[in-house]
This record gives sequence, C-alpha cells and structure tokens, in this order.
Amino acid sequence: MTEKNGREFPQEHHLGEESEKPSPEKKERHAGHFNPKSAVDVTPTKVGAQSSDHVLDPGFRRDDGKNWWTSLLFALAVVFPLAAAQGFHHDHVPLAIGRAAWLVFIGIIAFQILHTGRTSRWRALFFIVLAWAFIAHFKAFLLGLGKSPFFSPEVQEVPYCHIAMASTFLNTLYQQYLAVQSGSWKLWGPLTLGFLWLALTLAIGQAWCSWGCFYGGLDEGFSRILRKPVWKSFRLPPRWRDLPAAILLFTALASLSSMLPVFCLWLCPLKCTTAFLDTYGPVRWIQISLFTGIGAAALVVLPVVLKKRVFCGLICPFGAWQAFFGRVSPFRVTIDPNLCNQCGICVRSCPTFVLDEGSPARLEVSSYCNRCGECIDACPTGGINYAILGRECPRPSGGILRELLEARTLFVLCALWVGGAVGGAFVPQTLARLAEALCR
Amino acid sequence: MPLTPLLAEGFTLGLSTGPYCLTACAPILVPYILAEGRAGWKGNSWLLGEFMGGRLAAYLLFGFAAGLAGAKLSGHLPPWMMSGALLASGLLMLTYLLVKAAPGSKLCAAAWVSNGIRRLPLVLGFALGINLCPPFVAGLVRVLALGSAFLGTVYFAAFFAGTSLYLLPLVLAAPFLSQKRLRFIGTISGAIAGIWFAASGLFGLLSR
Repeated sequence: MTEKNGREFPQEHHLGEESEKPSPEKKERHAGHFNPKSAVDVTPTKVGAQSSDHVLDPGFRRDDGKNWWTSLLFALAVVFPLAAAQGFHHDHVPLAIGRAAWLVFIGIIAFQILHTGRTSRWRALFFIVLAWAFIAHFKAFLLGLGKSPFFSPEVQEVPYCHIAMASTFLNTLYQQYLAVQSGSWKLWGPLTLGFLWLALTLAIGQAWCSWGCFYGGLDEGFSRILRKPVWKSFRLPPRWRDLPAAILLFTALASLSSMLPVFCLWLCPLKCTTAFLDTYGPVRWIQISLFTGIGAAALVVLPVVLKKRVFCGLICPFGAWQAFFGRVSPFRVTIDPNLCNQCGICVRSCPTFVLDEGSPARLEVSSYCNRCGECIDACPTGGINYAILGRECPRPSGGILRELLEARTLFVLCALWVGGAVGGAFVPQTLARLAEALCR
Repeated sequence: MPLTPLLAEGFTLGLSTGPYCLTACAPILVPYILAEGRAGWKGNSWLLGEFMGGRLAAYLLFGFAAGLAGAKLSGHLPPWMMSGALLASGLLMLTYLLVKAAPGSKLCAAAWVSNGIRRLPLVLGFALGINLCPPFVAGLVRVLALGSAFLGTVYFAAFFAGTSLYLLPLVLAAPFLSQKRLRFIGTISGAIAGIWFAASGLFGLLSR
C-alpha cells in the first residue's frame, strides 16, 4: 500500500483478525529476555523499510496475554469494589439479576483484556453495551416508553450530561459568582458533579471518552460495522483535530452570552432522540434538522464510511475539555523509539484521529488520545503501550503481584472501575426491564 | 447637574454590569484575537485598544443621541437596531475570515476588504458596542431622562470606562497567542460565531 507522500505501508492489518501463534522466538521476547534492537530495524529512515521480522510478525505484542490465574485475580479485583459500592439491596428479583449480570459482564471483560492481551476489542464490547443500555434506559424514559416519563418538561430542554458541563462551564462559574455576590449561601451550589468529574479526571483523564462515556459507544459501534473503511484514502489534516476545541470555545462563550446551553440547543446530535416538547416554528425545525443532520453524519454515516469515531474525535466539546484537563491523570500512551519502525499501522487504526502520519516519527501521542488501546492492539512490534507519567513500570520478572502492577493493568483497572460505576447507574435497570419484558 | 456624581453613576453602572458586557462581546472578540494570532503584548494591546475605541465611539454616539433626543424618544428604540448590529458583526467576522483564509485570491473587492480589515477591530467594536445588551439599555434609559447631549456623552464615557475593566485582562493572554493551533481554533470558532451572529440578526430582522 502506497501513501500519497510516497511512504509504503505493509499490507493492511485487520484489527478483527486473530494473530498468528507466536513463535518460540516471540515467546522468548514476551518473557522479557529479548533485545529488540537485535531483530527490529529501528533506523528511522524511509517508512516501509522495516525488517522482515516486522512484516512476518504482525501479531507480536510485548503484552500478549497473562496466564489464567493472573487474569482471574485481576477480574476479581475489578468486580469486588464495584459490587461493594453497589451494596446489597432488597431489590426485586429482576433488578438483582440485572446487577449480578452487569458485574459478571465486567468481570468477563476484565478477564479477557488481560488473558488475551487485547485491550480495545474487549473494551469496545463493554463500551458499546454501556451506550446502548443508556439509550434503552434513559432515552426510552424521555420518549415516554418507560411506562411514564419521570422528567419534567423543563428538564427535557436543558442539559443533563457531561458534554453540557464543558460547554456551559462559564455559565456555572457566573452563577456561582452571582450566588456569592447575593450573600445568600443557600444559592451557592456545592458542585457535586464537579467533584465527581475531578475524581474521574484524576483517575483516567481523557480515557473517559473511550471507557466511561455513555454516548461514545454509539459511533464506536457504527465504526465497527465494516471490517475495512469504505473511504480508505481519507486523511484528516492534523490541524482539524482541534475542531472540538474550536467548538468548545464558541459554545462556552455563546452559552455565557445568551445564558443558554448553546451546544445542547443547536449542535448536539444526541438531542435528536429528545428534541423539544413544542416542535412548532422555524427555530425548532432548524434545531431538530441540525440534531438529525449532525447525528446521521457524525454518529452513523461517517463512522461507517471512515471506520473512525467522528463525533467523539471531531465534534464533542467534552473531548477537547478532557484533553486539556486530562493531563493531570498519570496514565499515558507512549511510543517506544526502540521498537517503533514507523509502519503507520497505528495511524490507520486510531479511531479518533489522534495520530497523524508524523506522530510515529515524532514519537508523539496527542493529549486528545482516548487511551482506547486500538493502536496498542494493532502495533505489530509492541512499540506502543500504556505508561505512567511517560514511563513504563518495570517489566515483571515473575509473580502475580508484579504482573498486576504493570501500567496497562493498573490503567485498565481504573478505567473499568469508572466505566463499571457509571454503567451501574442504569445498566442493571435496563437488564431488569428486558428480563421482565421477556418473562411477560 | 454636577458632573462628578454623574461620572460616578455611569462608572459604577459599568462596573457592576461589566461581566455581562464582556459576555456579549466575547463570542466575537476572543476568536478574533486568537485568529489574528499576533505575538506579544504590543500587537494585542493595539488590537484590543482599537476594539475598545470602536466601542467608545458607539457609546459616545448613543449617549449623545439619546441625551439630545431626551424625552422625545420616550424610551423607544428602532426595533431593528439590535438585529442589524448582530447581522453586521457576524458578516464582518465572516468577511474577515474569508479574506484572511484566501489572501491571494482574486475575489472582487478582496483588495478593498483587506485594506479595510486593518481597521476591523474598530468596526467590530462599534458594531458590538451598539448591541443592546441589558446594561447598555439601562444606561440608555438613564440618559434619556437626563435630556442633555453633553451629560449623555459624559455618562456613557464613564459607563464605557467601568465596563472596559473587564476586557483588559484579555491582553494577559498575549504571550500565548502566536501559536498556530490557537490561531486555527480562533479561526474556526470565529467562523461559527460569525454564522451564529449573522443568523441571529437575520432571523431577528425577518421575524419583525
């Protein structure tokens, strides 16, 4: 495959394909006794001049699966705190089954991530289930399908999600200023959601967008419908990756100016299932047309055509917000200069346009990185990995505890805790309703 | 009427409602400064100075006119004025970005526009200055009651000084403004803001 700039990439690596069985040499490398410099041509010259080792070894990863017991222990470490946080309630039977099923599901995901060594494949399954469960639970209620709509008419038209939190942050600050100025402390908001946001940002930063956001699974799901992109030659000019930051800047200022949540009222495609109670008048029609148009393009059509998460990567202002504040999280994705042979597979596999064609040469992963693990799974030399503050934890030389203390393992643990806790608020109820519907 | 209390009144009105004025100007002003991408304090201070000069001109004009009209205006202003100001601000911003994006193009009037673009902050300041935000209307009502062109001008000059204090901190961002990425972000958000303002103004005009 030849790129426009003359680079030659090896045959396309299909993310869904099983890799070949590792050779004894690869196993030796997995065990940590292999000197990568001896086998991988690391000369950063012309891309495509990789050693044959790389071309013939598309399945090699340093982090290929852990053993059964380590994976099981890890799964239990993920599930038990979530179970303890949920507590034991005297729920009716379907809800109790729903809670148990959700925990078992998270446990299976955690086990598979560690056991297979593939992060993004199992994360994507978890993430898509999270999103569709949210749609089935929350949006169904808004549409009046859940027996009775529990939201008042006012709530239908105002923001209620984290995306709105970013684009109306200046409004919140202004309201706090007015509350303090009024001298009535009862008007001052404790910013409870703000503290929750701070906690999850400290824990996983921008990874929220691929592990905890209950909307991200929508375009993730559509981007995985086809095995190959329809528009293979599409390359996003790198500077357009800042589009969400521009949208955030505009919506934050315009929201403050109009004292209305401008993104939610005009641009959010996720509003197309909520819309407005009064649908009359040209303004409403323009708004609904924008919701539907942006939703169809950015959540469905373009993700299918490009195999990219277009809404998350190019529109969502919360993504830009998290990219800025997410730097406080210690978890990073790094490119190892000793292992990267600049094949460009990571660039093509990145679903959120974070890596451009120059990224491998610069050894640079943008702060927009969602830590989804797609590039880590795709990298044929294992040159990309999770790290803590830019450093990998020491390679384990043995012992379950040391294996569990790897950067990747610690990151996935935190990310599944966040995602599992978020899903715990609505997935069990969705499952319970499904179970009840099936039993009727 | 003594001038000192009038100056103090105008200044305190501006000081107390200044954040609202900032929010009214920010959707256009902030992207514009980012898109311009001038490095250093001097260039950005000059931009902000021109913008505030435009605002001052608009305020003084209104203060003068409102004071002159006095009770005859009876508190009624042309209904199309705010929508017209929004439309003008939006179109100015879009024109600026279009010319900036294609400096070598042979668009008709491109040469004229690019000469005029040098004075754009002044014009934007004027257009946004006559944007009838609530603090501005509050000042206008007070000046109508004064019934003097001179006192109206003085009152709005003080009002301008009070509100401008909230715009000055924007210069603090000057050292960071020459980055390419910020310039691009400013350009795109400015384009969205231009469309937003122009559409709001057009819709306001059509719905009357």
